[in-house]
Amino acid sequence: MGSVILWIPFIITSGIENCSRQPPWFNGLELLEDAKQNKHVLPSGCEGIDILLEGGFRIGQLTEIVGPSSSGKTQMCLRSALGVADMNLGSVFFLDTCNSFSSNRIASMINQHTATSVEEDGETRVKRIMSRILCQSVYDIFELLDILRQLENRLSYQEKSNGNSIRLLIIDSIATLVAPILGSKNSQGRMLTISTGILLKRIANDYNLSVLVTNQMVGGQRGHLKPALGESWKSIPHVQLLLSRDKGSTICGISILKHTTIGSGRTGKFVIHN
Amino acid sequence: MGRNSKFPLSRCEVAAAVGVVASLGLGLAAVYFSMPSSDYSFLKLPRTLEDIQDLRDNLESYTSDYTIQVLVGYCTVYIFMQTFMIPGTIFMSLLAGALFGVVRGVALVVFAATAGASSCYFLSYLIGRPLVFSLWPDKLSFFQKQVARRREKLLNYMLFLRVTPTLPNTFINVASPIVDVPYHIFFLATIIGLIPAAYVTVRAGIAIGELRSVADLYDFQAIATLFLIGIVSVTPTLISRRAQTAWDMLSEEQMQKPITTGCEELDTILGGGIQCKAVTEIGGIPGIGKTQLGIQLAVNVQIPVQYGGLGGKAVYIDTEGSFMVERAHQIIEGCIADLFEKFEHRKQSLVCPYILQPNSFLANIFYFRVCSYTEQIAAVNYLEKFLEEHKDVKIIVVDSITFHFRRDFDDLAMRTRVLGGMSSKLMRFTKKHNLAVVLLNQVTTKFVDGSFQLTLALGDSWSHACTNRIILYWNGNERHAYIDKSPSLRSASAPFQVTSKGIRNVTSNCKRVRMM
Repeated sequence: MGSVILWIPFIITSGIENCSRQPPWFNGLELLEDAKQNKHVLPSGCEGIDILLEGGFRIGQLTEIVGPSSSGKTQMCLRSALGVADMNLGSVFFLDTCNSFSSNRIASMINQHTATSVEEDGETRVKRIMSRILCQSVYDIFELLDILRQLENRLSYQEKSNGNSIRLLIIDSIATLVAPILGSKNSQGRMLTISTGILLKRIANDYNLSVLVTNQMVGGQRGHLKPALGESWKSIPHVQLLLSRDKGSTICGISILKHTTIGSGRTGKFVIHN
Repeated sequence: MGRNSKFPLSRCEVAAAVGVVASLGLGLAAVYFSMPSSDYSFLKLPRTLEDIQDLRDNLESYTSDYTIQVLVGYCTVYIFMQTFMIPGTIFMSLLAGALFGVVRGVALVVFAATAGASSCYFLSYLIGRPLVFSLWPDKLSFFQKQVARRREKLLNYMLFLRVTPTLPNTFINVASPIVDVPYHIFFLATIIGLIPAAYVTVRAGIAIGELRSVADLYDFQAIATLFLIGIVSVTPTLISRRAQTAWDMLSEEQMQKPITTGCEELDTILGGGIQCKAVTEIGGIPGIGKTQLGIQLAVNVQIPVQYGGLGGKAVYIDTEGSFMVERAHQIIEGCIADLFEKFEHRKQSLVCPYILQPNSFLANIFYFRVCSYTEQIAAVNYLEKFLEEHKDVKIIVVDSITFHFRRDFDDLAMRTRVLGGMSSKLMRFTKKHNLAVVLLNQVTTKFVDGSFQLTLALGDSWSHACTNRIILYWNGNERHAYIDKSPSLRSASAPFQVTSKGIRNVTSNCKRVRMM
């Protein structure tokens, strides 16, 4: 009898929720309102890239950065994490699969790229920016799915447009997680890849954050390099960017392979400082 | 900080401490003189239950007439006892229960206890902090760092400590300002955390006639309840996420000591040496010195902490059979000789010489010989359990990672998958056990841009499996090392030399005959 009484408030609140739940479809005008209010553009931290992408990384989209080894993918991820944290747009969640997150590198980037303002000195600025970048190491795909589901739970309980809410989710690099499971004869690998992609896109859209993913390149036909993870992953990201760097130079070339609003083939350049 | 090293307190601090003592003494005197004249032989600091019962019987009549004086006197005595860490405040709590009943007793005890804890906090802040700082600065900064790391959930931890009888309250009062617990957290934790314990004691005080000894107070049920409340207060810290902010990682990374390679120029471009928590791949043509570098690192990781090293052990997984014990012995002797030379002037603080014997260095290298790729995978899987048992392993050298995978595999896709799985396991080891992994790789020729070039073996997909990549090559007659890939180091190259003592700096008169 006592346990029934405990369930009554639960039934009442779920009933109230059901009455006020919206229908699951949107019309075009509502989508436009949503895009104007919530789906802003996050600057990538580097002007060359921002000009190329007409603003930067769009919230609600999954952006993939592909490139051969040592072409600047991790540097670009660190730079955009820094840009978002510095301009107080929100916090950054960095999922690191290959131990490439280096907080020393971020600290030296902060000292180079951002200007000291009158209100805060170097040390507080470093602390403020770096306290907004959260990093966690992930080493297999199941851990990643677990972390993403926990993140989804946490985001659904958080109030919207909080100053500290996560705005940028970076996974560096997703190929190390997915490559070991793809390619065998059964299709479980492809299933896991696609469900990861769907989960990332849903999180990006529902909770108004931008997802940045790095991918590797593997040898294709006639010695050309192509992005790893095959055809099943290829259709998942909204935006695909290709990085290239000549050996020994600090200038990286970036070109658009796939974008929702910009034509592919456009190129740009950016520099990796020391 | 401008302190006289002989007496670590400044004048105004001494004055403040004396002032606190004086005001307490004044309070006591005021109470004493304002009480009506009567027989006050029973007024003494209570030490046993009989004293309480005595005090209770005698004071009950005064409580209703001279409530203010009794209250002020009680508070002053309680605060005095807490400030100067005089034991026996539990008897005062029992007395409050006996005199004032449950509700007013709890309120009085919590108020007096918080005030007493606060004044003890400030006294310890004034006197204890500089004292401890001058006596044990290293231990103090260690504890301060630990407290700073848990800053967000500090209130929960403090509540846990107050509610449960884990640490005595006087210790918490004295230690809190020394490890930089801020006052508002201390105040909140005290005023909330003392309520359960005060309630238990005060309620027992009402029935003080039935109490036989203090042990009756804390029966099993009461202690269990206190622990339950404590666990509830500390639970938010246990389920917090495992993600860290970059700021915390920065302080951890800066405390990280790298493993020196023996050659100073190479150390400089590597940022001090091979970094722990990273997988470093070292590749080069045969004969360039990869195995020498691997053995040198396995020796250098064992340099004791007093000499600036890590004092750890090494795991050496040998796939080709290129590890020569005699050469390792030679390298160890060269390393010890160099250490003695460098630290000659600190002879009196040397660690006992028997630790720096070649045999003890050799005993700390764990050697695995694997003869096929399945054995290699099994060795990496076994390392998980091995590292749990041997917590002081600080480097794993695999020489070489590619040997068995180049010849036994028909299915290249499966090779990539297996290698990918192995590299993620190794990455997981570096993060979890805070060690360095060094993988030695061979080279192969690749047809790129119309010509054959030397690249590292195992293909493009393997090139993403490491954090840092160093390529060793010949530049004229000198050996050079070049940083090919690194998220935090700039591309640079440095010369090094392989001598009979191991890897060393290039000296100007080095003459190396290159074997053609």
